[in-house]
Amino acid sequence: MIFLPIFFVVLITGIILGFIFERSQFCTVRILNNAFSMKAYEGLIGLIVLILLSTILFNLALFSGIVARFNILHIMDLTPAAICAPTFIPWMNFVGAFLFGVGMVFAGMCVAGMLFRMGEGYLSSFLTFLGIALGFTMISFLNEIRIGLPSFFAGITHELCPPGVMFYDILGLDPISIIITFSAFYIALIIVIKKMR
Amino acid sequence: MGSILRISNPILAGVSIAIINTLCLIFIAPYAPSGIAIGSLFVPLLFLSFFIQSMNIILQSLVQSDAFKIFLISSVWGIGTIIGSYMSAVTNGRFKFRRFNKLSGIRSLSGGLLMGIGIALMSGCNVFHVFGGLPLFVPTSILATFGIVIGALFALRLYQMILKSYEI
Repeated sequence: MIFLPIFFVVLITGIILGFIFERSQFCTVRILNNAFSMKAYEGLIGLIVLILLSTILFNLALFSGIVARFNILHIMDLTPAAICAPTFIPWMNFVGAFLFGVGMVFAGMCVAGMLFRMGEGYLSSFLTFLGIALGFTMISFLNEIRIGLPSFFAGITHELCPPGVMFYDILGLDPISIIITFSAFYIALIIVIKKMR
Repeated sequence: MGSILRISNPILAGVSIAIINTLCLIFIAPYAPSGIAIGSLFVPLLFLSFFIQSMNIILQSLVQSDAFKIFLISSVWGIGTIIGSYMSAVTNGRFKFRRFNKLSGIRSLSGGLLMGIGIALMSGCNVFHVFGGLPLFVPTSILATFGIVIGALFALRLYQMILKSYEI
């Protein structure tokens, strides 16, 4: 019962996002396919706007202390870092991301696409769901019997809140300069894409 | 109300997702729903615990771990997303059970399998890394976003080449 506020917030935000995903058909595969195969860039601009706005809002919330003040994850003895600061093992992360990218094109949907299509009644998305569960279990099992894959559950190497080793820490730069640089890059990208249309 | 429900414009959708995701970050953590697929694996464990006594001990240690709590939160996000999209699909008349043929079934399952392996290796899905980790400058997410785009473009190119070879 003590966890109820967390699950309430999580469920409500999940429902709202599910609603938005379905209405806008917001799926990364669809966006990339439309942009690179059909030269339709509206979805790609929407995705970049999402990242740009998130970059500004997230860092504003984090550095103004709003996250530290209002975060309720401590009820479960967790910190946001437990969720949003995964282990950074470059080769493993890159291989995983590459396989994920290939897999989502094969399946014809990303995770958001899979979830909203499940709500729309696409039975094939349930197969993708099963595939994800099997693939994850397979790697976890191989990891468990120690065939050399580094453990991704054991210890969170880079903490986020309070900030641990982030990209700006690695570069030894001020976070604000990185936020401005990335935001400028996203805006430039939107302008270039708009000119391509 | 009507205009709020018409979020079909990708830019408006992007803005809406960013705002809701910021609320997720403030109160909980960035939105990460992929745990629902992994969380669903706990259901057979719960079922087995009713029949096998030793499973209770395994289950108890599992329930107390941080990983379980994270998967639980992630699973509720996933369930919420399915409920939300179902509500949306029903209200705009898009809900319909759609079957799949053998080929698309194999594609969905094998694609899902690769996605599951990818999620395990990069500790998160595209939604978490692109919508959540990248704006926070998490090193894994920056690398993961790059890897996902490269992988997707490679597969799209391969797909187009296969289609072209069939045309010839």
